[in-house]
Formats: sequence, structure tokens, C-alpha cells
Amino acid sequence: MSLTFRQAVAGDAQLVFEYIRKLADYEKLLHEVEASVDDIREGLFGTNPRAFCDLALWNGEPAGFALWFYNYSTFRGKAGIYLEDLFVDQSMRGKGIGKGLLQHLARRCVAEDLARLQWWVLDWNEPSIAFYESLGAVAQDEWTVFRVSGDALAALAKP
Amino acid sequence: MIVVRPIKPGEGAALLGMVRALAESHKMLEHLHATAEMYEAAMFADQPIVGTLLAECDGELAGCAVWHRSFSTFRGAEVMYLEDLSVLPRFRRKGIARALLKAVARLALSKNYPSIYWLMMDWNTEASALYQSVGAEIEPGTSFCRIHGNALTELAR
Repeated sequence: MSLTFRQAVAGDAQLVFEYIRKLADYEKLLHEVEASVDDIREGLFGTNPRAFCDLALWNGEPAGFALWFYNYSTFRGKAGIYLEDLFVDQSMRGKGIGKGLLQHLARRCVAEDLARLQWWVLDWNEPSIAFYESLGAVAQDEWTVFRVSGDALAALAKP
Repeated sequence: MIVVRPIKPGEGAALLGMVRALAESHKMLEHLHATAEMYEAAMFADQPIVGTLLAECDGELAGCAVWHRSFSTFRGAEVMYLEDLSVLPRFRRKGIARALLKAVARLALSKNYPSIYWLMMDWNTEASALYQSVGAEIEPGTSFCRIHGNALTELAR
């Protein structure tokens, strides 16, 4: 029984795309996924990749993923990691794979002198919230998330 | 007159003054550890992950918007994250924050980013009114988690 990690490569685009969809399905948000496998291939493995992906392997077989990118804290003057997606296959749960993926990212933060590791969780997802708190993460309850897109973004951009 | 433009080398100290004003407004000054040199290194790196727009009001530096590239797996596209929006106290209520938001929106569209998102402290009703007046929507049902300091080092073991 072994848990290992490796960085995803272009040949993993389909697998990563399937994980994104499985996570969205778990979150009851599959209808919001507009991405195609080509979008993921370009975004993660193109000429100027913005996001990165680590795969967890259980006895050498893919068991879950963490998709992340670098963010920046003006208060710390340092980069950090924003974890966009974390998912473990249903049949692979209870083996410490989710914790292993977070540890893998935490080690990168320490190795690269990054200020912090951040992510969002859906408020109804109590099992995940309890899990994150058990690792020492603190929910930043006093923050509200805003977003502007589509027509509102175009309107805002007008001179 | 309000002019919004990208930050130039040598303006790290001015940016720090604006971030300090933001930290003071949020009663978070003890969490501000950045230096002007850190900003210069980050903003003018070979492949910077972070960018800054500065607002001038009648030729004086008055405010900033700091953003970084981000990625949405649902969109399958890069999106923009707005890390900081700050206006120096003596320049507030002149439309500078709105001008900065409009410039950020133009920059996002020029880069084909389909959306911009940011965080705001819950008590900041004034900012909330501005954000909603420019068409921003509150993302319901999400909490924001963070691990840093000793807990991060502990997890990394």
C-alpha cells in the first residue's frame, strides 16, 4: 500500500478533466462546468500555463488530484498557493489521500517560501470543513466573495 | 482629473503606502509585513504573477488595484483575481475606486478573462454598495479557508 504523487502532464488532460467533472458533480454544480478537455489541456499544459496539477497515486494508480496556482499576498509581499480543486475518487476515500495531497502542497509552500495555502469550501460541505479544521486550517468567516462577469463586466469596462 | 496606469519601477514605496492605508482601514496593520523592495521584485520579475494599476488624481498618486492571474476549472479559462483595491484617505469620495474598477475590467477583457473576483470584509457596507453598483454579485454559500504559519509548517512535515 503506497501513496505517491506526481505532477500531471499533457497526457493526463482527460483524467484531470474527468476529476474536475466528478468534483463538480459532488458539489451539485455539474451544470456550471463550461470547460472542455481542450480548455484544460491549454490552461495547464500550454505554452504559458497558469494552473498546475498534482496527481495522487495509490499503488501507482490515479486516486485523486489537486489543481492549484500561485497567488500573491500584498500584506506578506510573497506568493502563496491557491488550491482551486481537490478531489479523491469515491473508492479511494478513507486512506489519507486528501490529507496527503494537502501535505504535498504544504511542503511546496515551505520549500518555496510561500506565505500561505488558501482555498474555498462550500458552506454545506460539513465533512470537508471538519477535515480541513483538523489539519489546522482556519475558515476566514468574515469575508464575502464578489464576482463580476458577462454583461456586467462588459458594462463596467466601458469608458 | 483621474488617470489610471500601470505601476512603474521605483513606485514600490508608493504602493506600500496604499496597502498600509488599506491595512489601517481594516485594523490589520499588524499583518502587514511586505516591503517596497518585495513589491518591486514581484511586479517587475521576468514573468510576474501579479500586476498593479495606480490611480493619479490631478497628478498625485491616490490609489491602487493589485491583481493576479487566476484559473477557473469550471470556466476552463484564466480569470482575474483582484487582491487589493485601495484609495488613500484624503482622496476618497472622488470616484477613484470606481475608476480603478473600470480600468481593471478593461484590462480583464483585453486579456480575454471572462470574470473578475475578489474578497471583501463583511462589515464593509460602503465598499459593498460600490461593488453592487458596478454589477458585481455576491457568491453565495462559500467560505474561504487559509492555512499559514505554524499550522502550515506542521502540515508540511
